[in-house]
Amino acid sequence: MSSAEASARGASTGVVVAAVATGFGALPLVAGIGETTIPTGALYGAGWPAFGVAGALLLDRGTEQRVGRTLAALALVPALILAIALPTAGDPIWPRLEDVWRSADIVVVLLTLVLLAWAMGYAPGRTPRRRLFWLLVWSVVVFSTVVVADSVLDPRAQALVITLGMWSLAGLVARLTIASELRPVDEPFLDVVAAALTLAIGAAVGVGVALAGTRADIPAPDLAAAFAAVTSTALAWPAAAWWRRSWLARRYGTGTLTPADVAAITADLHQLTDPRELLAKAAEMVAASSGHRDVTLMLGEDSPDVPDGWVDHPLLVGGDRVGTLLLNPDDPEGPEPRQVRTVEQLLPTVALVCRAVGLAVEADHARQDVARERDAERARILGDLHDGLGPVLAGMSMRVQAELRRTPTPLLESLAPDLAEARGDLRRIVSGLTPSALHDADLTGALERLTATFDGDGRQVELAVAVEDPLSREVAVAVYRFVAEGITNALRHGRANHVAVQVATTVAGHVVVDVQDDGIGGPIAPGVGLTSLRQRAEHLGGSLAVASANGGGVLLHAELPTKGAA
Amino acid sequence: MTRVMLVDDHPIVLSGLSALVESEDGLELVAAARSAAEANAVTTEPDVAVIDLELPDGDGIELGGTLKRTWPELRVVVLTMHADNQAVIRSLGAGLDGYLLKDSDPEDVLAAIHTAARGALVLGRGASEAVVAAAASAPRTDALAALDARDLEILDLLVQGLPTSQVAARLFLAPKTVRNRVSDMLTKLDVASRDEAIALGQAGGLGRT
Repeated sequence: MSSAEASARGASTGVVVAAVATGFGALPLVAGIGETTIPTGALYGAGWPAFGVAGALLLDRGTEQRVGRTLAALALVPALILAIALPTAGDPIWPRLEDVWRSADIVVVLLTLVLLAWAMGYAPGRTPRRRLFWLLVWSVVVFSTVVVADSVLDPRAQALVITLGMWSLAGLVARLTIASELRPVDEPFLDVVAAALTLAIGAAVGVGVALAGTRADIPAPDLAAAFAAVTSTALAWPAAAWWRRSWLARRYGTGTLTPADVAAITADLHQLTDPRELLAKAAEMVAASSGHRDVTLMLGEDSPDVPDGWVDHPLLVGGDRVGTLLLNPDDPEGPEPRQVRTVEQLLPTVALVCRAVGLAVEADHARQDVARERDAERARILGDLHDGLGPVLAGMSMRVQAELRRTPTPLLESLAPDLAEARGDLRRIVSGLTPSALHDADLTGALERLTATFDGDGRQVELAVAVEDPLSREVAVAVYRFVAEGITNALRHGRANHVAVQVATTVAGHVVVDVQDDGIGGPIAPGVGLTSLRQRAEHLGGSLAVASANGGGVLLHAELPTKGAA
Repeated sequence: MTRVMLVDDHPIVLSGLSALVESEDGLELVAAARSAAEANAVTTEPDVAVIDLELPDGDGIELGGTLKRTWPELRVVVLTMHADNQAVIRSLGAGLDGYLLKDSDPEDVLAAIHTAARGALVLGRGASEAVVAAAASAPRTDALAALDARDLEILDLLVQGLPTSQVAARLFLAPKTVRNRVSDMLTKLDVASRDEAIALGQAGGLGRT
């Protein structure tokens, strides 16, 4: 025999026992139904068989055996009372049974309640605690009603009250034991308050109308009052429902996200440049819709350490873990089931957001890597130029100079300045196109050194730098290249004698670069250098413009955000 | 007559310098060596030695020190393509007499040799500001080249002084992920500790917002 069969048989044994107990307990009632009117003595015990039914239900489910067995045992109470009454009873037995019940009813009810509380027991944790709370609250209600009924009602009504009380208790115990989740204890009170308020409003209006109607002597004031009461109750109910719903939304979040919520949360998204900001927004949305105090999203397949009191959900897309959702519920015992359901509904969307952001970050990194490789390659080429061609030109210059001193010829005399020019060009290529002049992060110094390389031969390069705010390295390099390219263009293609360079930061967080010359101006064909500078400016979130200057030359104008785009 | 010794492994520079020195009245070329070994084998005492900073078999500054011990009267000028502050400080610390850029105007090179011969200090003299600027901006190898953008992003925040937990929060990563990547980074950079990596990052220009 397998253990499953054994347990199945065990369960059914329990059910059979509970059924038998219920049968015995219902004996007085069944016998009483045989009479023309059910005798009060039979009616007293009519509530307890309900415990047997509830017990059978619980035993059949196989959980909470202790509660199930206790309920089944409680079903025997009427049989027990009958057994006590029988030896001293006459025929019919009903008056004697009624006497026994009347003298013992409060004690029997109290014992039943104690036994139920004992069976339910106390265990740490949210659900058992709430379970016990509801049982105790209802026990108090039932017990006080029974005590009041005992003193004010006739025995038959008393028996009816006890029966109803036991039935409600049996139902409650079964419900509490079977329920896998229970709402916080204050919420049903909230419902009660909402309903009571609505009814109170209706009643007040009804009473007011009745009084006014009576005084005004209108025909059938009661009818008008009833109508007014019903109408105002119906009208007040939506307000109460709204109040209840908004109270619950504060605790659990909205449960769903409306397009307006999404719009409000993502309002400033288009200004953000890091795709990861989207994760912060998504976390905000989850927090708002599920009522968590704190929500954090993390990228990557690593499962992070979960802080105390937090709950984690892995985020999966196509079976791959793309991130983790960490939630901090207000309650140290964890989120309410309602919140968990909301979060679980949002998980697939959040996972997709994580995946998308992860891809965007990867793409961004790849782009930066390519840019860095390009810069490194350029630096290597320039380094080779400087270290390879530089000494050659230097050595040749020296030889030509030496020859020129000994035997000056027209050839040597023209060769020497050509070589000097070639050395100057090489210097400018090397210093103008590499950001390593900025290694010490001093843009002003780097620009001064740069412009100094152009000075001379009657040409004048004027530099005015007013950089108040720190520039990101990327932006500083762009400014440096822009100035270098601008001056080169002005001197080489514009045949300018005077170039004015202005670099200044604005209060709006931009750095403005102007390179103005007094050259020949005319149509400007954007060269490779300018095109790539424009691309760089746009990539950094800025702009580059070329215009004819007032004096006839060319004005290059660039604006970049000081922090850059990335 | 100032006796001049030249040490440079670049044949064009060496022949140019030789021709230049020979063309100048008052200067006499006594030796032109292409390596430290050749320079050490020279027996004629020169007044001025012009030595390339980077020699195939050694360092120009060390060679200058060695020669100065042999001939205490010798004036040594270091010659280089790079305007490197570290090298200037090192050569002065080694008791050498000057630092000269190869890319200077030839006449300036001669003037610098004369200056050194007179016993004065030559510091990039003879090199115009433009030459120094160009030489200073010549590309250097990047110590952080081994890292990719993902690593740099983390290192940048570390250089800014953020603890791991905040770096993780800023990048929406688990602290564990950041720790793993930092330890990978240490391997890539071949350094022993986080602090060393941070120092490298700082030197590489990271951490500036």
